Amino acid sequence: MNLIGPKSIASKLHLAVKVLFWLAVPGVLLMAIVPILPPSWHHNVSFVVQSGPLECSFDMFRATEARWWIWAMELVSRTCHAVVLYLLMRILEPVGAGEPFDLKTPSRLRMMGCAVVIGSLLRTVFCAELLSMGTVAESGAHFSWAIDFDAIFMGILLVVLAEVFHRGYALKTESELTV
Amino acid sequence: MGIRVHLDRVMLERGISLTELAGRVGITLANLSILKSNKAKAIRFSTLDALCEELHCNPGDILKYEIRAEEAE
Repeated sequence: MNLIGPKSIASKLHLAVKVLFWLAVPGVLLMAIVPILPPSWHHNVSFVVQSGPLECSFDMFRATEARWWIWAMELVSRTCHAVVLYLLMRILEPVGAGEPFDLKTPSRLRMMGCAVVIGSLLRTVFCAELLSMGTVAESGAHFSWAIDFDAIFMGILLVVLAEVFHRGYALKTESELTV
Repeated sequence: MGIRVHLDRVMLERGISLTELAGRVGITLANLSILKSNKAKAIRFSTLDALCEELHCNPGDILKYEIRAEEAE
């Protein structure tokens, strides 16, 4: 099986990422509307924050002041995941069609890198804010956090990769316009 | 681009069409059209050689250096 082009691994990966993206979108939207839900509904809302610098599980109803920080952190995290999935879907689209060096691929890779880094930094800031509030013990949650260097490294790697694709596109254009 | 392609003028002088020249030189009509409309980024020596042979001319008849407008000012 081919790696790129129609009916290739890339085209199947594009389909898989597309499905994941459309599954992620309702999650983000549901998370975004939590503050406007009636307080009685909060009994049924619980978050398990597993990604980024913070790992905790907490009950929306039991957590007091800290809950909105945790909610914001989880919303940022899910939004970043959705953005990355969307950009990955758009990057894989031309690859699946047999055109890996697309005009917009470098900017999409750059945006993906920025989303990964910004998301990671925001989660770290929210986490630090949570710990400084001193209400963590009252919230019933258990926290451990650190700067997510893996995500920052990944973001920088994506930005570098964007430059590689930018050069690749320039070479492709030049090759196509050589007679 | 400082280098201008004057293929259309040479073709007119020789009375040869784009399709006929593409067939004789052995490159696609699309590529020859790119060259004629000054959209080409580069030209292979083999293409230039074939064009000069078919049109009985020198590379300098096809390619000319023109001073850019901003440089002239």
